[in-house]
Amino acid sequence: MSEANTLSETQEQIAGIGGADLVVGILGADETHSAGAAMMVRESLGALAERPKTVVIHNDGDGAEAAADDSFFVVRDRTFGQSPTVATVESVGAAYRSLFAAGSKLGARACCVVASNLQTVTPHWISQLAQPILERNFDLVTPCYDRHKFEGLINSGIVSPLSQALYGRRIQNPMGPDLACSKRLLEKLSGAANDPNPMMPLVRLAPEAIRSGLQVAQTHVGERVYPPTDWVNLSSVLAQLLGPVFTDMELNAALWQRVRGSQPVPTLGEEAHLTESQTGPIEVHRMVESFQLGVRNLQEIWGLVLPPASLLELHRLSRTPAETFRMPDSVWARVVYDFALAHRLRSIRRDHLLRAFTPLYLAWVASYALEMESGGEGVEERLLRLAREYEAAKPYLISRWRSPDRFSP
Amino acid sequence: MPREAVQEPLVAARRSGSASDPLWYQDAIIYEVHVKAFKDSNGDGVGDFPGLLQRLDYIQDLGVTCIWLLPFFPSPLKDDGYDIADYMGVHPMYGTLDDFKAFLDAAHARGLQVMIELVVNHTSDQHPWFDAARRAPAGSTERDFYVWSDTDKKYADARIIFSDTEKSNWTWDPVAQAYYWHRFFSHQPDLNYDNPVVLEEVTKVMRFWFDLGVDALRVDAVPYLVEREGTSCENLPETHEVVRRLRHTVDSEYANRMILAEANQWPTDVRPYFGDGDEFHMAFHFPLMPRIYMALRQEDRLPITDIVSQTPPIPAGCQWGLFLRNHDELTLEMVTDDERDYMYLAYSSDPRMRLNLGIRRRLAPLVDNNRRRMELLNSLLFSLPGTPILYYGDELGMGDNIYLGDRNGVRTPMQWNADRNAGFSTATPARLYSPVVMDPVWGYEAVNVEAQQSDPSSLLNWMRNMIALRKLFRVFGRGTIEFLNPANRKVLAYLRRYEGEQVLCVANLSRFAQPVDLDLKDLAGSTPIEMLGYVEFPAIGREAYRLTLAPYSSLWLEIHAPDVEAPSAEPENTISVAGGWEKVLTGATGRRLETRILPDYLPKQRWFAAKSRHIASTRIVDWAALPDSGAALAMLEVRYDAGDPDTYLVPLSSSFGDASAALVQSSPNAVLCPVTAREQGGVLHDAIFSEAFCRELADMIAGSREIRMHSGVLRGLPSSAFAAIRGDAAVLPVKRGSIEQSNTSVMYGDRMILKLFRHEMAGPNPDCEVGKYLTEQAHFAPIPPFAGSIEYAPAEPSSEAGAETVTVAMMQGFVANEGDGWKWSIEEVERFYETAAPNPFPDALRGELASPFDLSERDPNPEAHDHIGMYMEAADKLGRRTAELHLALGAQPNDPLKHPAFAPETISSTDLQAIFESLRRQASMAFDALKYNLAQLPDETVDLAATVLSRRHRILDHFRPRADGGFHAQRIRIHGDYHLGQVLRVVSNFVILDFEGEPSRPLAERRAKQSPLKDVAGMLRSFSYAAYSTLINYTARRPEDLDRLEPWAQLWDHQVSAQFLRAYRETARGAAFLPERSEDFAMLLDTYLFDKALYELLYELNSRPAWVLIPLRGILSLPI
Repeated sequence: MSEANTLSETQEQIAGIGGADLVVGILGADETHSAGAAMMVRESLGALAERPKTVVIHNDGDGAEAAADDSFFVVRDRTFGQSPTVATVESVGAAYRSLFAAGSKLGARACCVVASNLQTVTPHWISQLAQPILERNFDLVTPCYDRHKFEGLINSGIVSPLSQALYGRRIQNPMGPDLACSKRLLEKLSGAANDPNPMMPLVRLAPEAIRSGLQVAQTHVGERVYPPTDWVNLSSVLAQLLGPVFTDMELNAALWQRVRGSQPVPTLGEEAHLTESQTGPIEVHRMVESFQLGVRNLQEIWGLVLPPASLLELHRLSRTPAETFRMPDSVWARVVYDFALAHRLRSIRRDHLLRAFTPLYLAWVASYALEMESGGEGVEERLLRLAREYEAAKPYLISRWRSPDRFSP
Repeated sequence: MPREAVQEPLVAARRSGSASDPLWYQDAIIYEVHVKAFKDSNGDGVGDFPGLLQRLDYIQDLGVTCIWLLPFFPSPLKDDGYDIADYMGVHPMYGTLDDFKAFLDAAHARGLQVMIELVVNHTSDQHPWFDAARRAPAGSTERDFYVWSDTDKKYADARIIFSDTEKSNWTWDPVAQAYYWHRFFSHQPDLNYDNPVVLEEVTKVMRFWFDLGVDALRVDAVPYLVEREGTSCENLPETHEVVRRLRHTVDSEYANRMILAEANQWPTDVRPYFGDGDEFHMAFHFPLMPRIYMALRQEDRLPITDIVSQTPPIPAGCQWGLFLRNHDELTLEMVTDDERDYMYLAYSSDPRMRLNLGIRRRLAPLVDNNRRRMELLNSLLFSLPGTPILYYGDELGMGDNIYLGDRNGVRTPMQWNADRNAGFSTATPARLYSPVVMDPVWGYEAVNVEAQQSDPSSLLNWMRNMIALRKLFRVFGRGTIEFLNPANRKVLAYLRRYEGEQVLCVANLSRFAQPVDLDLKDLAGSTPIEMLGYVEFPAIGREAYRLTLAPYSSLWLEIHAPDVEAPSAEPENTISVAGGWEKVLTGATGRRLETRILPDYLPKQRWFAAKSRHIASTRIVDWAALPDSGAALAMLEVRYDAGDPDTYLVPLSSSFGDASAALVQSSPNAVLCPVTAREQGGVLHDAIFSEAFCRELADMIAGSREIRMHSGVLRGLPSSAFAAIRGDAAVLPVKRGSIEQSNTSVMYGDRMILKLFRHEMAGPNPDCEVGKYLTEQAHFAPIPPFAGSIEYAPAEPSSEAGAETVTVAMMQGFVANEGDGWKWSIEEVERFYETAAPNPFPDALRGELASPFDLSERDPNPEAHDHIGMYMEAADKLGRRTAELHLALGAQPNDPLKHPAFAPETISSTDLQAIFESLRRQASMAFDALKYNLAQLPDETVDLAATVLSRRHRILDHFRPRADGGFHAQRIRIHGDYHLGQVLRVVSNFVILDFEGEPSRPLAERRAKQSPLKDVAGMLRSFSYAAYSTLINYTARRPEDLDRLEPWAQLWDHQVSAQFLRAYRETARGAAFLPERSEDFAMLLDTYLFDKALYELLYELNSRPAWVLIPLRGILSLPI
């Protein structure tokens, strides 16, 4: 196994390659699954109409050299990203930034990132993500994973419906993490290279593509192995993710406040049949207890963030037995919006604010889990309904954003 | 305040400022700060840069995007720093250059741009340049850094600006033994830009600050840079050259920087400082500010609408700077004497509040500390076109101290909290550079940042919200403005538009609640959303949009257009044209067109006259497919909720692929709906956009073709002159007319022009009828020759389209011309005023101001003729042409039975009676309206209006038929809507156009025979309008010239009218249509003049109160 590069060595190597059509970054490589990463990329190119000159960048692994030839290069950089399961937000953001910087340097027509655990990633993923950029003139391709009820809930319950309501495009996973983008989009993002937001450019991709009138699509890639939910450090996870999302919301206010309604984006590929969820049971009772504890202890902070009507709803909810515990989507959407607003207004310190959000998120997860377990409605339908509530509550967000008087109902 | 076309930005390797957008200043909100007044960090009683840096978070939180710093350079501070002794340093009181750099970096880190002062009209007399100059030998480069003279009589035409303190612009220097020039204080000698080294040095100063990273420079006292004998020494071409050279340095060496002009001048005089986008990026709009206060106090929008309408377009990339208050007095230089007196009375009850030509007060005291007034004025500031500039402390409603000298009363320390010295400084109060404001109402204990930050309902928080809101919408900084004209003038309403954003701003200037009806029918179907609360208002319909406004309230409403879906997303609106026109225009598809598509399409068309009426239904009553072009012609009956139906001609065609996309892009209103045919997508549209259709119309006329419609027939009818007019060219290029009116025009090369009449009326079209008669029967040359027409003949008299033939289109020969008579005349009158303005009106010409009719009875005065020049010949030509037209129309036709419409008839006493009756009715209505609106008229018009009203009975009595029975004259076909806009100027002559009459009147009225003196009166009134409207526009910039120029305007009007009349009467002498007796001629002419002036009076009262004086003068000039 040969030594991986340092950052400067990587830059040197990339400069030596000169140019490329496609740059693929494998963030999810680790000692277990990285050995075939480069080969997998190479294999994926067979699905493309013309074989592009390709550069693969990953942080570790072996066996890649065997795949290299005149139009296929492999760069191994130990500073480049780690699996999101162990990475910090900063390192994930840095990995995307360095990959996109390499893409720009090489003048690549497409940059593709595979960030999921390689356990289920196939060559099909890469071709599905890259092909619409290289051959169909799309600018951003995000993934559609086969949905399981209880996986990716921060995305399903917050990021995706929030993005849909704000920017008017129904994208299942607006922040990937597996995705591909065009040279045009990279150029649009170049101004944000120095943005202090740690999730840049991931958090900015979809808004920027929409703002610039670029073409967005999503593509079915199949099943994804989600990292296990870190319930112990949930507050940190939420804060790391939502902080950048809310910050970007502030920067894009002039954009999303003009958007009304939402439109679907082209969805490519074929949806696979769902397999049974591998996720363990959700501990609803503990979540409800956390929420009830929050109602007792976080009253002061929530009172600075939420208007009395929402507080009253939460009080009522806290008295509801766990079996019938249901948080209405309209309340949930408003709670998310009020926290985004408080984040903008710096009503309290932002880290305190985001941590105070955790019991509310747990309440929504508990409510959602109970609903889903009671059956009757599929995941897609349920999340569609949630997204509609976010859209319906958007005027509430805009009015509070523009006139953030605490004296509101 | 429109903008001209975009100029390509210069691109080169240049040092960029902190902003990423080169046009950042168009979206900016500027905060004006005096370093000494903001925050003292070291307890010496004077604000400084470290203090300012400490307070940057406050400025960032406020939401402003650019900080403007008043001078902070080394200076003896005799003019608060505008007397600079070292351009490249920092006054030790404020800190060091490093302190400034630290502040600059911190501001940039917060996304704030920084603007500083470039005060380079003058220096301090303590500047080393001046010290060297006064000691250097006369004529040396050092000496010539300033403007010297052996006498104090040079440049005597330059006014003294600081008239309260300075008696001359020259001051004797005992060292130099010469006078030096200064436009401001005597301790501020003006730099001499005739010395090229001065500009070099100034450019070095500019580079110094830009190299440090400063984003913008406010260039002080720009109009006065250069002096020339015999001029006012303001705004000279040489000054512009200096500015262009500075700008060239900015553009070639730096990126994303801005220079702003301080030129306290009228907008038309400031406009040249934008150059062709090659002088300043920004300039202050000085005259707007006092007029905002005037509008507020008078509870009348007119001062604002008037000044904005007089503001010329500026180049793309340029911007006006707007402000309510600044560090100087509220300047009243750019108002008339009366307006200044009013402002003094309204806003400065204590004489101590006045300084120079202005009022030295802050915003809050000016409006009596009324929160709603402050909010209203700020909402205007944030929504009128330009970049708003806030003066520090006004966001809190800070007060002033009129007991401090000069302008120091508005430069007191910023009030941060209720602690000692308002939290501004820890110094003992006596050390402060200025006492803090301490009275119970305005004092720092009542008004301060800390209190307002903790009060959610404070003015500060309101300002933050409004600033944040404004920043969300580029339309405020970059958009166009269109004023609405509701009857209630206490309400100011305007639409701002920019790249699809539309915002309606409505402000109640009154202290009481006001209702207002807004004409928003062009936005019918849209939904207004109140922007601050995101509250959806009722959708806009075709009727007036009614709002009720609380006292001093303002609303910003974002206009959400009805959702327009792409063709593929809205299949129910898409029709298939694959089956031909039969399937499109009949059956279910035809019904969809009639019920849904056409009612939406018609109101968007310029040619659709009934925009104020609600369409109840439409029905295609006849149609035909045109074989060559594939287009269709449909006759559409439109019924309304009330009133008679109309018939419109609707030509239809469909386009696909790139052609349809291009049409949707360029002319979206021409599109009816998406269509499909054989799996292709396209649009159904107005066929006038199809070249093949336009050619087919011309071919129909050329070939006398007949096309059978479903019930009637279309016939092409060439005139006998068609072939000669058409010429020999095989193909004539087709071009659609750019000006859409009630008709649509199509040009065929430079040979022919086709008018397509959209609103169809049964019976001969007078334009066609008269044109044809004059061409074929009377052989009258000075008109566009009639080449033919397309007529629609219903199948039978009972046909629904009407029993009589309908003229669908008319072809005429094209006449090469120099523009219409109105535009040409306005240019001539402007030239006349330019020549006349410097001269007093000669007493010898007083007698030449008699009535035009009286003047026409004697020979022209040579001196008056000389003054007016070539226009006298033009008036003579036009008078003759008009008489010739009437002679042609008044001659007995060769075959009266064939042309009964042109046979002259005697004007009977009953006809006269009817004319007078109609006139008296019109007069009563106009006088009532005048009386009702009297209080709203501009001051200079009220006296005239009162005089007219005082003569009401005398005027009405005057217009009664006499009983002597000796009146003899004829009525004939006339032009009917005759004015300067209806003639074309061709080489030394005129061609008469457009015999259609007033299109809104019924056809029978437009074809009625009348006295030709009605046309004569129409043209005389048009001369009056040319004279006085130009005078109004001309003197808007120079109000002091109004009284001086008024007799010149009268001279031009009366002499030109007299010459026209003289030529007309001479040419038509003895014609039977003219009254035989001179007094009858005068009486009938006066009657029509009065009638026309009344019509104008009603029109101007409703739409342009500033122009009411034109018809009033017309009425008063009648010999009554």
